[in-house]
Amino acid sequence: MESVKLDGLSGASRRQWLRTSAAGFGSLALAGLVARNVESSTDSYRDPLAPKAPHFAPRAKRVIMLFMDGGPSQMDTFDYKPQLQKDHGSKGRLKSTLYGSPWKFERHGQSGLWVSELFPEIAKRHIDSLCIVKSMHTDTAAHPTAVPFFHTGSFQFTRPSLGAWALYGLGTENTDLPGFITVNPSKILGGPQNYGSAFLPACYQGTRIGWMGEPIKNVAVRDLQSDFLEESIRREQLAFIQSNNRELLARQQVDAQIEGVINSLELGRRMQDSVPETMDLSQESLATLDMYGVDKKDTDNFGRMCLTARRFAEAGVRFIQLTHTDWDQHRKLTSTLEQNGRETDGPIAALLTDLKQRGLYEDTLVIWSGEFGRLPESENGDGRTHNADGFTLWMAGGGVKQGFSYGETDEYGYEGIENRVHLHDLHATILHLLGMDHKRLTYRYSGRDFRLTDVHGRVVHDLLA
Amino acid sequence: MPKKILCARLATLMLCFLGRLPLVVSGAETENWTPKQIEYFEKHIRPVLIERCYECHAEGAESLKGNLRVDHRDGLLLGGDSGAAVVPGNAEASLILKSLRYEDLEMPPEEKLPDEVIARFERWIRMGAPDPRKLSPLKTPERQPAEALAFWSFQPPMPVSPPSLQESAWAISEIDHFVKAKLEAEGLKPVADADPQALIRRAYFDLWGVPPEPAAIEQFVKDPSPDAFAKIVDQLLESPHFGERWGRHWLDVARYGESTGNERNFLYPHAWRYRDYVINAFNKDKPYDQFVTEQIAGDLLGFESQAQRDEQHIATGFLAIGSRNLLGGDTPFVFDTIDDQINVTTQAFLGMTVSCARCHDHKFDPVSTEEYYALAGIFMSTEALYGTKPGTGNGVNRHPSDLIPLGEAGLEQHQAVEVYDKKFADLQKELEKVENVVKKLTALPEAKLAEKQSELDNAKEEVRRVKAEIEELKRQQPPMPAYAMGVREAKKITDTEVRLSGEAGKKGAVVPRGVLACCAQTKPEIPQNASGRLELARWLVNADNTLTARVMVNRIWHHLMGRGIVPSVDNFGHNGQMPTHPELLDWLATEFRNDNWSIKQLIRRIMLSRTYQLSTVHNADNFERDPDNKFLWRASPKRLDAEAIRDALLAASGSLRTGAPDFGSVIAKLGDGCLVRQIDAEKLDAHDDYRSVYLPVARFFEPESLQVFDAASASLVMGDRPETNVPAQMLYLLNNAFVIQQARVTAERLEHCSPGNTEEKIRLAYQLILSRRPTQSELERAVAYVQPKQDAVDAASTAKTDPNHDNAEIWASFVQALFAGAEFRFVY
Repeated sequence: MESVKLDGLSGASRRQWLRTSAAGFGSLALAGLVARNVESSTDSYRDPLAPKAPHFAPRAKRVIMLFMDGGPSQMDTFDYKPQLQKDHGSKGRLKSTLYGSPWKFERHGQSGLWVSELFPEIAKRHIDSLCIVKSMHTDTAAHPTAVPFFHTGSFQFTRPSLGAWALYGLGTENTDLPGFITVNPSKILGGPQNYGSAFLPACYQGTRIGWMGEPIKNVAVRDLQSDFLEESIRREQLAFIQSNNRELLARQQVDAQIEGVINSLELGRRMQDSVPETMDLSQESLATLDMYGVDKKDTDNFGRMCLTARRFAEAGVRFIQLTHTDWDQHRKLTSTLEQNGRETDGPIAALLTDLKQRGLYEDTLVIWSGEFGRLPESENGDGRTHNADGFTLWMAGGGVKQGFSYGETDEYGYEGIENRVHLHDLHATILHLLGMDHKRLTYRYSGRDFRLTDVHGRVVHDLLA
Repeated sequence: MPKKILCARLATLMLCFLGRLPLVVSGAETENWTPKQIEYFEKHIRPVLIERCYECHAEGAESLKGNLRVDHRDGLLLGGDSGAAVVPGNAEASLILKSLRYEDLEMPPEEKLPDEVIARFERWIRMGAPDPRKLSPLKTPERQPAEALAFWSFQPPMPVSPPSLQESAWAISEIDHFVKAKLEAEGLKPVADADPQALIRRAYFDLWGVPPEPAAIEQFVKDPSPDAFAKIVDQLLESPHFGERWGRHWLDVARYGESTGNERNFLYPHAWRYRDYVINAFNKDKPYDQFVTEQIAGDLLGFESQAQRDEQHIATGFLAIGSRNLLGGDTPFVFDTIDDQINVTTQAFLGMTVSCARCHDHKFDPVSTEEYYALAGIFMSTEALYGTKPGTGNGVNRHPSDLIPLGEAGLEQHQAVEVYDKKFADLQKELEKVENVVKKLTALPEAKLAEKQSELDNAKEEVRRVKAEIEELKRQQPPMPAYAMGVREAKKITDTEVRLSGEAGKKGAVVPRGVLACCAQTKPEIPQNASGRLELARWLVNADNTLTARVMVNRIWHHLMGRGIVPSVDNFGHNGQMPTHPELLDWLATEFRNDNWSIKQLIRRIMLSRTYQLSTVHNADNFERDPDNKFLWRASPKRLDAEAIRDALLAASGSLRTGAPDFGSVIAKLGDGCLVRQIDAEKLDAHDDYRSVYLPVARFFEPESLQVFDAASASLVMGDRPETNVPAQMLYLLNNAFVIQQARVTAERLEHCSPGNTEEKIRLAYQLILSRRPTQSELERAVAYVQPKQDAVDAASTAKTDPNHDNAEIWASFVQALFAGAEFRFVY
């Protein structure tokens, strides 16, 4: 295919090209033009997953997304609202009475950031590492639209997921493992769309491990292994396949596709060992397992997930997502949110500690977020309903400010009022931290250059270290 | 086209473009501003705009931000990507004010303007945003229309004849003249012809998507007659396998899917009828103009039989099978449906991406928002019938629709079913009511109950009566008719307004229903009481449409040659790629029409060219000049697509079932309902051996066996699938239970044909899987692979020790090795 190589042009001629091509806004098609039909050029084999240079120096090499499915309540976790506590029971602005948080808040660490009792370990050990954004807002307050919006930047159309964009833009560091792994995603609320590749080639979609709400203990990646052949025969079989491939290549003389098959067989073979090896937690010390809460009642599942995430991160997986469910507290807020705290606080704290200990923290971006937040009013007594206008997330690790709080909601937490950050801005910022300009990371499909942020999004520079 | 006509056409179009200008300018008040108001603008507003906004939002800005221009009044009114910046008289609705206040966007980004300046903007908007600036055009077109219209694809195909050649003996068909002339011009030499084994395998995969049986190969190789290949091509074109292969190509373009996608992923249990319609259309060689017309307006065509009527209705499924968000609000639902229909229609038939014009004039092609909403009027006057069960609770569906009953008695049956359903529901309600009475009475304290004993008896009797009635009704349950998805004329035929920035609520001027101006001279007259679909369809296939024939010819060329003459098969606009052989494309398009739009004729024409029959062999000189084989100095090796890979596995093992499943589709079996929430997605995993085109295509849950090899996403128009070569494919071929099963069955087939004969079994395996005999070295290598393992098994069995494996497994592993090798996946 004809590809327009702009990388070699000087700044001036590049602008010139953009003008004369009548492209104007949003037409920086570079990546898209070059990457459509990733292997169409026959001169040499190019692995679509091979590492690619980012647009500029990255602050983080990989992402661990901790997705708290359902919409965690900001005023019960990180967004302390003393006025809400004071006015508890009086009439709220919308439909019900104000409902103060059942949990106490305290300042922690040098930064003095507020955290509720739900996350004692995170508060004690990592508060000075967190970059908390309290002024998040999104476009929709219904799960079915908000979850795909969080993951793909669109709820109207089928679009590639954040992880697929990251993998498409950067390739993977370790070709022995999938470059984008999602652990326990939801079957509904967008389902596979949330880690799908839409019009990007299918190799950029997330590899799924397990389904939401299921124990991860014995889950495996599909088709990774089979008990069809014993190892010695398998080894001979692979050698036999490769010698056939090489003879074919010799016959065709030059053929990038055959090279591609030879290469993908090698990679597949290594992946077959690497994935289970990486997921095998028995190689961890007892102290580590203990720290993550493996085999303990509340923390076993999410502890395993977090530890697995660290092992994937360490092995060079580009984008790792963990989904923890049940953050949709329309009722029984007190008991269920407390349970969520018990299940996630220790494992997440352990993950951050572990990343720090292993020197992975500086170039791993960890994000904790739900698809939206909740209202400060009471619903069904002890519950809260959805809120798209204000919610809290935190980031930690590669490239973000530490012990830092950004943005504010109003005195009760209805909506962001200061330094508001839209979900598109978050996406732009994540790509920026990975070294990519969200306006330049495009893919041409059906005559248009698409991007994760569509025509929106701005990098929130205030969050960058 | 004669130059004069072209000029006249350009002039008309220029007028169209100019004629649009008043549309967005909120005209009249322009003159009514008082000098004081103008002065206010000049003093307080204009300087701020110039100083703080022009850098990014005016003509000459390095890169125009958010598509917003504030250097003329219309720019402010029309706004940019986020919508109108100024709504005269309505400060709260004016985005510019929100941005200045830092409430939404934060403008200017460096720092907030002083409060008093913002207050002046507010005042200015309240007075109607007086602003005399109208120097610049409404919205600078990115290209001048004349220039945009002069683009090659908007010109009629040139009347061309095949060029003469230096070496004319090489050419065996007209196509070869075009190709060879190009090769000569580029200094390239065509390679040798493909050998017969390679050629027959190529033909089978291209036309059937299934490999030839060994006997067919033998026969062809031995056939010395000059028309041996023509006979094969004809024979392949006559088989129903042809439609199964080429129908699938069309289904990619038609974004065929059997569920709504989105959050409430409701199944379309009747979508498969459209799938079968497409397959049959290819098998019957339905003229392409008729194929196009039926899909857009089949319900409006005359018919001679019920079967024809049904078929034409099913064809309109094209407009109904798109993905839709059943939870969406009414207005977005309507506009998203229309957008899907416009998108698929213009991309599939015209290779144009008109959807961009939903929000703004197309940035690259001469398509205006007015034209988009002219098309929208046609589809707004059309009712999409896609079914989906009305649901409650977790399966709530806000937009269920009718379906089309089929068959002579279809409508009658459908009405009977509706009457029945209503009666049934009424009786159910009644039963509930009387049962409640009984419940209430029995709950009374005994003393009170005694008083009401007769009432209770009556109520109980009522329950018995209603229950009996329900039973009686059930016995009379009428048969369900067969249903199809499709469209019909809406109750209300209407033009619609332009929506500014694509927002349904922001209405501009009404545009009459109509079509695009860029690719045809004629404009259909749409009768007042008709949606205009029939006129749209006729316009698409009208002789002066510059795109329809070219786009289809190019799609066919793409599938046969591995690359379109226009490589961007879904995009013939400015953003697409240029044709490598424009004259050939025009010639083929013309011949296609002259052949009464016969797809089979066209395929035959291409395959009987020498160009098609070239070998894929490498040539260093040619490769250096043309590594991508743009100029066709050889045949390009092609990766089999996902369906062909799966079908070839089944063919090798002899398990491939022919014909369509009698139950239609797995999704038809599952019936109505919401996937995951009501119907377990695991139930989609079909373990049958029908051809892959018949596998269920639920959006987001497309079959894994196809996804892994880059099958089209059911939510997107995809005339050209991406092709990847990644480890997941290897892992699938080595570990997936389906593949292992095929390997085992193939191994049994080998043993059955040549029991115990190692060399014969190897030869047969090569023929079944790679459609050729092994070379001597391959044979030796294969023997070296299986023999020692077999010997070990035999030795173990003689020694009565327990071997780790048996011969069947060894042979299955050998077969699997051929499946997993590169050659199996490519056509040379």
